[in-house]
Amino acid sequence: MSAEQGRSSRDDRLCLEAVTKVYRRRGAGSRGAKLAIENVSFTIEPGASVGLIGQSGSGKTTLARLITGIEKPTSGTIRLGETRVDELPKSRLRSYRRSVQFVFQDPYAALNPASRIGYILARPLLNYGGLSTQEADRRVLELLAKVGLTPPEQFAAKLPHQLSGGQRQRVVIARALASSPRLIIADEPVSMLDVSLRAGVLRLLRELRETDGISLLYITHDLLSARAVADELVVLQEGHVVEHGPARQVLQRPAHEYTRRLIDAVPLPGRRPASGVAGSK
Amino acid sequence: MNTVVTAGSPVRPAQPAKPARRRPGGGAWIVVRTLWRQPKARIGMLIIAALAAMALLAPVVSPYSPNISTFPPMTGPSGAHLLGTTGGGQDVLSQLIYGARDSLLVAFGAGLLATLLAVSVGVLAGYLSGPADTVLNFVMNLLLVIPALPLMIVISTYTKGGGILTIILVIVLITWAFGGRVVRSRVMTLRSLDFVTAAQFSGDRTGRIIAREILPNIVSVIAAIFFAAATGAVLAEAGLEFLGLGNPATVSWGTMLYWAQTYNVLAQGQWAGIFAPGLCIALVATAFALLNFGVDELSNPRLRES
Amino acid sequence: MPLLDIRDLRVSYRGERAPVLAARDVSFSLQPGELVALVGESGSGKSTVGQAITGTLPGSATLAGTVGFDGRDIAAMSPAELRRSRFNGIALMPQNGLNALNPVLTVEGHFWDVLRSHQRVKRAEARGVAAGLLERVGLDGSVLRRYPHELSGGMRQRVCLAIVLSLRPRLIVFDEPTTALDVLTQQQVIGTIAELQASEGFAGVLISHDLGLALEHSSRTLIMYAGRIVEELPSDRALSDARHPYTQALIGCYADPRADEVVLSGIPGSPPDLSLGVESSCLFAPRCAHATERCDAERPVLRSAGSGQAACFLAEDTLSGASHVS
Repeated sequence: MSAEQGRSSRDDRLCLEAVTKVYRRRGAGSRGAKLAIENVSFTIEPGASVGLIGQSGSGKTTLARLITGIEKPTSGTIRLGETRVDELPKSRLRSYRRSVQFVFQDPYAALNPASRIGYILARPLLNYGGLSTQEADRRVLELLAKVGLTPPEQFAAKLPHQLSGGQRQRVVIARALASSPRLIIADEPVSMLDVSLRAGVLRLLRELRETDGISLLYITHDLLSARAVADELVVLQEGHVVEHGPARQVLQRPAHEYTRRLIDAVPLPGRRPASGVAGSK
Repeated sequence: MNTVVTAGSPVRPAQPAKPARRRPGGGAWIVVRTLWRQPKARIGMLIIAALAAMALLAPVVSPYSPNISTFPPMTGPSGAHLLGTTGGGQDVLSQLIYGARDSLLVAFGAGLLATLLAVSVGVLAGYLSGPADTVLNFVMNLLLVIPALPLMIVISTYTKGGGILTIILVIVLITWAFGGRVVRSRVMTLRSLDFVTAAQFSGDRTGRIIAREILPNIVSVIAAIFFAAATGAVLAEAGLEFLGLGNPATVSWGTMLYWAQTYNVLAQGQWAGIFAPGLCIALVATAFALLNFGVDELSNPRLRES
Repeated sequence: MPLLDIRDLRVSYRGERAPVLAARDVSFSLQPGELVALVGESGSGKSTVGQAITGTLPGSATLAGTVGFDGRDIAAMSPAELRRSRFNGIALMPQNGLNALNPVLTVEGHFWDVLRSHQRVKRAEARGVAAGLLERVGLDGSVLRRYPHELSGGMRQRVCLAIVLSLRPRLIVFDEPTTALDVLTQQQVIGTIAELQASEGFAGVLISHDLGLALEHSSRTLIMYAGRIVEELPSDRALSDARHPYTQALIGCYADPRADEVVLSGIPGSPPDLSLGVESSCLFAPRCAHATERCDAERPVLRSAGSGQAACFLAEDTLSGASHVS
C-alpha cells in the first residue's frame, strides 16, 4: 500500500497525554462521580503494536471509547497525527472513523444476523472509499482472501450464523481493514474463541501490521495473547497506568506488584502442581 | 504441533460473484413463505384468504343485495334465505357476505396504520434516546394509562355516524401505543449490540442503520404487533357498532349485531341473525391469532437462506 | 461403589436437518469426594454431559444410556423424582451468576427461595444459614441485602456457590464456573471451590475449556472431543503422559508468556459436524498430524494407555508395552 508508506510517519502516531475521564451522575455532585481513568499517557508509533492489559473495571473499555471518539475525556489530549480527537465535533467523527477501526470481542454480536457477509464488508468500502458497487464487490473478495476465508465468493454470500466463531472474527477483522485505517483497536478479539483457534486469528493481526503497516492497540486481560501480538505492554489498574514497557521486559521483570499478580494468575498447565484433591482412590 | 496453517493463497482475482441482493419486496415474500410453513399459521392464512375472497367476490357470491329490505322480516333459515332474514327485512347471508368487506377493511386498515405508527414512534424513541425518547415515551405511557374502551366510546359519541375511516382512526389512536412500547424496548436492546456500533464505524448514516440493521431484526415483533392490532381492531369495531356508536346504516358484522339486538331476534327465535356475524368476527380474530403462532419463526435467520 | 456412574451416555438434539449427536458413548465414574474435570472446546459435549447429570437438558434432547447416582439411574427418573433429588443429591453451579440469579431478588431472597422449597424452615433460620454459608465462601453477611447487579462477578459466583451448598449436595457439577471472570478473580473463586471441596467433601465434576485450571484443581481429567471422551488421565501426570494427539495439541496451545521466545500454536481445521450420524472413523483425524489410513476407516475406542486411557490407535499400549506416539 504505497499511499501509506508515502505519508509522513507523524501522521499516524496516536498520542495520549494525561487523559482523565470522570463519569458524573446527574445531580449527584461529587458523591456520584466515578473516576474511570486518570492521567493516562502513552504513545503508539505508526506500525507499532501496544497491548493494553486490564481487568474489568480497569478503564480499558473507557479508553477505547475515548480513542474512537465515542466519548470525550474530562481532561487531557488525544491526538492521532495532527488531529485532536478529544475536540472532534460530531460532524467530523464520521471521517475520523475511517482512520481508527475497531475489532469487537463477541463474534456473535458483532455481525448483523440478517445481513450477508458481502453486504457487511461492502459498507465501509462504499462509505469511505467512494468505490462503485462493482469495484466494492471485487475489493470484498480481496479482503476475504486476505483474512484467509476462501473461496471468497462463497463466504461473501453467506449469513453470519453459517460461519464458525473463528471465521466470524476474521470477517470482523476484514471489516476493520476495509477502510484502510491507520490504527486498529482490538478489544479482546480472541477471548471468546476456542483456545485452539486463537493462534490463527492472532497471527492474522500480527501479519496485518507487517504487510499494511497498521498500528494496533490490543486490549485484553490475557497476557499470553498480548505477548504474542504486542511489542509493548501498558498495564492498567483501576484507571491508572501502573507499568509500561517492552513486552518481554514487563513479563520477565515486572516492576509493579499488580503486574506480578497478573503474571502469576496466567492459566498455564503445569504452572502449579496439580493439587491431587481429596478422595481420589 | 506446528503453528497454524492459514488457508491457501488464491492468486488470481476471481470473477466477482454478485453478492446476493435483496429483491424489492423480498422481505414480504419471506414473511409469507415462513408463515405458510407453520401449520397453525397456515390455517389462519387460509381463513383470511377465504374471507377476503368472499368479500371481494361479494357481488358474485351473494344471493341478493344486502340493502333490499323488502323481504318478509324475521324469518328463519329457508330455501330462499339460507340464514333467514333480519328484523328489517334484509337477507342475512347477503349482509354477512358484504359485511366481510367492512370488517376486513377495518382489520387490515387499522392494523396496518397502528403498526406503522407503533414502529415509527418506537424506532425513533428507541434509537434516538435522549429528549426525543423522553417525550415519545411519555406520550405512549399516557395513552396506555387511559382505559381504551371508555376512551373509544367517548370519542365515538362525537364522531357517531362518521363512517368507516373515523372508526379506523379512533381505533388506531387508542391501540398503537402498546406496540410502540414493545418496539421501543426491542430497539433499545438492539442498539446496544456491537453490530450497530460496527455499522456506525463503517460510516453508515442513521437512516441506513435503522433500515438495514434495526428493522430486519424486529420483523417478528412487527408482525406480531400487526396481528394483535388487526385482531383488536375487528373486535373494537364490532364492539363500537354494537353499542350503536358506528354508522348504523352501513352493512357490517358489527351493525348486524346492533340491529339484531335492537330487534331482539333471539327472543324471536331467529338465531342466525346473531350467531352468523358473531361467528364470523370470532373467526377473523382466531385467524389472526393463529397467524401469530408463525411469528416466532420469523426471527430465525436461518430462514433467509435460500 | 462409585457415587456417579455414567455408562454409554448418548444425547442427541433435534436439529434443523438431522439430529445432532452431542454426546457419544460417554462413560466414566466418580467416587465420593472426588473432583474430576471435563475439558473440551466448543462442541465437545462437555456441557451436555453436565446437563445430563443434573437433569437440565432442554426438552428437545433425547438421552440414552445410564446416569447412575448412588445406585439409581437418574436418566430414567420422572421429573418429580428428579426434583426431589436435586440439591439434596446433585447440584449445578452455573457459569454466569448474572444470568442464573434472579435480578429482582436479594441474595437473602434467593436463599429463602431455595431453602424452603426443600425443607420446612423459618425465615430467621434461613437467614442464619445463609449468613453462615456466605462466610464459608468468603463473603460478608451484608451481602444478604444486596441485589445481584450490585455485586461483582466474583462475588456473584461465590453467592451461587453458597446457594448450591445450602442443601449439602453430595455432587456438584461446576459448569465453567470461572469463565466469565477476570484472571485474578478466577484464581480466587476456584481456590474457594477447592478449599470447600476439601473441607466439605462433596464430589465434583468441573467442566471447563481451560486446561490449566482443570489440571490444577482436579484429581482426574477427561478430555472430550466431538462428543466423545478421547483421553482420561490423572491430573498430576497429564502433561507428561498425554498420549492422544488432541490432548497434546491442546497442551501445545498454551505457552509461558515469560519465555524469551513465545510461539503460539493452534490446531488447524475445525471441529466436525455433529449432525452426520454415528461415525466409523476417528473424528479428530482430519486435524491430526499423525493420522493414518486406519484412522479414517475405523473408530478408536478408549483403551488403556500409559497412566490413563486414550481413544487413539497410535496411543494404545501394544502388547509389547510401548506406544507409538511419544
